[in-house]
Amino acid sequence: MNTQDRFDEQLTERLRADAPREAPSRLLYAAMDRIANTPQRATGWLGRPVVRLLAAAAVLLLAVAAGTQFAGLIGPPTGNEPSASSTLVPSESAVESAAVTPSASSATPQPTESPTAGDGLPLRVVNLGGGPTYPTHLLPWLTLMADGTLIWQPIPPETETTSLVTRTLTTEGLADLRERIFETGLLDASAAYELEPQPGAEPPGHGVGVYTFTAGDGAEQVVVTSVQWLGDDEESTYYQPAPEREQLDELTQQLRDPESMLGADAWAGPAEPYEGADYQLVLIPYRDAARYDTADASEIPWPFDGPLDEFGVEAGDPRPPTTRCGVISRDAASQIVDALVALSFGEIGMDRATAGSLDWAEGNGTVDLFMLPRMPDGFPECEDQF
Amino acid sequence: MPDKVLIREAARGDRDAFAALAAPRLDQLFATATLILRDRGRAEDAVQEALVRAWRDLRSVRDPQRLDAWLRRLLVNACRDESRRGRRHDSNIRLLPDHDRPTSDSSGDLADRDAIGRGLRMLSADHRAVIVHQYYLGLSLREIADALDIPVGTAKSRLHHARLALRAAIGPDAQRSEGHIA
Repeated sequence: MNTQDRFDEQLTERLRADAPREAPSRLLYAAMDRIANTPQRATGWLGRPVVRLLAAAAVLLLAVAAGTQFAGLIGPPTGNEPSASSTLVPSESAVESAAVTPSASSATPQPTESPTAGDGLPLRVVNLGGGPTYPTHLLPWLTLMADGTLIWQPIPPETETTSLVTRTLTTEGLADLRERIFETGLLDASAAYELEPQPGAEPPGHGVGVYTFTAGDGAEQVVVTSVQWLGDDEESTYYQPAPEREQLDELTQQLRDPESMLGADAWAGPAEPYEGADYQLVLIPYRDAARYDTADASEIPWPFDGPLDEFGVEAGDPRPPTTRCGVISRDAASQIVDALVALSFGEIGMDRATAGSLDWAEGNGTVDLFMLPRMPDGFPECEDQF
Repeated sequence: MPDKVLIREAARGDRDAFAALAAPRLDQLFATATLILRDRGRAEDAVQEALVRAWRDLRSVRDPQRLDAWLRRLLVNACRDESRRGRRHDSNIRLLPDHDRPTSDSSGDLADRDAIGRGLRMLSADHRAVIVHQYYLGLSLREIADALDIPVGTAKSRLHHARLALRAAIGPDAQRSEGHIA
């Protein structure tokens, strides 16, 4: 055997020795959980090889943009440390930039009707992290209003699409649900439940999901963040006991199937798709970028005049490509949805997060569009898209 | 259920069908990503990202027989992204002299494989990707080119340069055990 062959053989042996035999079981679950919040793109333009390449580049750009704007929120794991530092508290800079008063340009969206006053928010649950985060991932897993309105994303395998469902609770049903939510006492005061490795343990580094429970509103509001339960095996092997995280994770899973949790007499009416009174529209325009060779942004009936990169307010990192954010009416959102459907975009609807990538001839580039129904309390605001 | 049916159902939004497509491929995707990124945590993130992208663009798959090649391409792209994202953290890491390494190891092969392991760590993710596809997955140059989304000629050239880079990276070890891998 010559030295070249020996080298090749040793290289192969080394790679085989280094390769893990099995993927962690949580990997598929984690991917499927993210897929539940990921709309599929329409056929046609993606089928062309050159466009697929451009699309991949665009995804990279988007991931970079999202990674920049969500720095600290979805930071990649460092070494063997778990990403327990994920936090939902917006950075000061993000709050400052999002608080910029919209310019007087005609691109500013028209103000829409405020959410119904006095409804109050007993609880909202959002899950972020575990990988690149897109604006549509702010769509809450659950929103409970004081008037008994419950809006939730059902557990993925039981639904055809990633859509929101709403159903109204009876007075008794609401009281029952509130008791189940708050009886643990874990949502009585703001707290952050993070991963705490055992001494000397070297946990696998990977992204983790982080729940944010927002209970109540106004000055009394409580915000609890909790890293998603990683499974009994990984938790017991690498981390300190965390009964709070386990309890909150279990509660969240139950809340995603409230009809099983509460029983038939807890409800005042049937479940139906949720449509927002208004919608958050997020645009990430890329000027002078390679085209997707898909539909052009000019085919969308935008509810504002002026260039796309002056729409609404700037959200997040001010470096280009900037993220533009604004609130549009239900009618305006409906027209956008209709246009996207006509252009063969899939998984589009008023009751779910919508995402689409378009060419933007006017800017000699592309624009990524995200739209999500806002909750009755007005969540998410643009400052939440940091 | 055949892949063709699963792809069709998954492209219609059936997540169970997609899970059935992904599950049998997961181990190899994870192993490949781990070898490219040399970090299991980041490999998990890359596989997850590749699967999410596969789900999102599944409707673009016209030929079921091309599914694996397409998934490999998505994985390589996700590894590239993950590598770039991790670079700012890696920049704080310095390679230290390996004082613990036995210098009179009688097992030349084992020492050589250790040297190769260290050398692999010093390659770029792109070079590791081409090495892994050739020497671990045993793919042809055409298949490697497809996975890396580059022309066959470029794949050949990149493989050549990756081998040179690996040899350069393990230089001192190669000299020590000349006759085995030099």
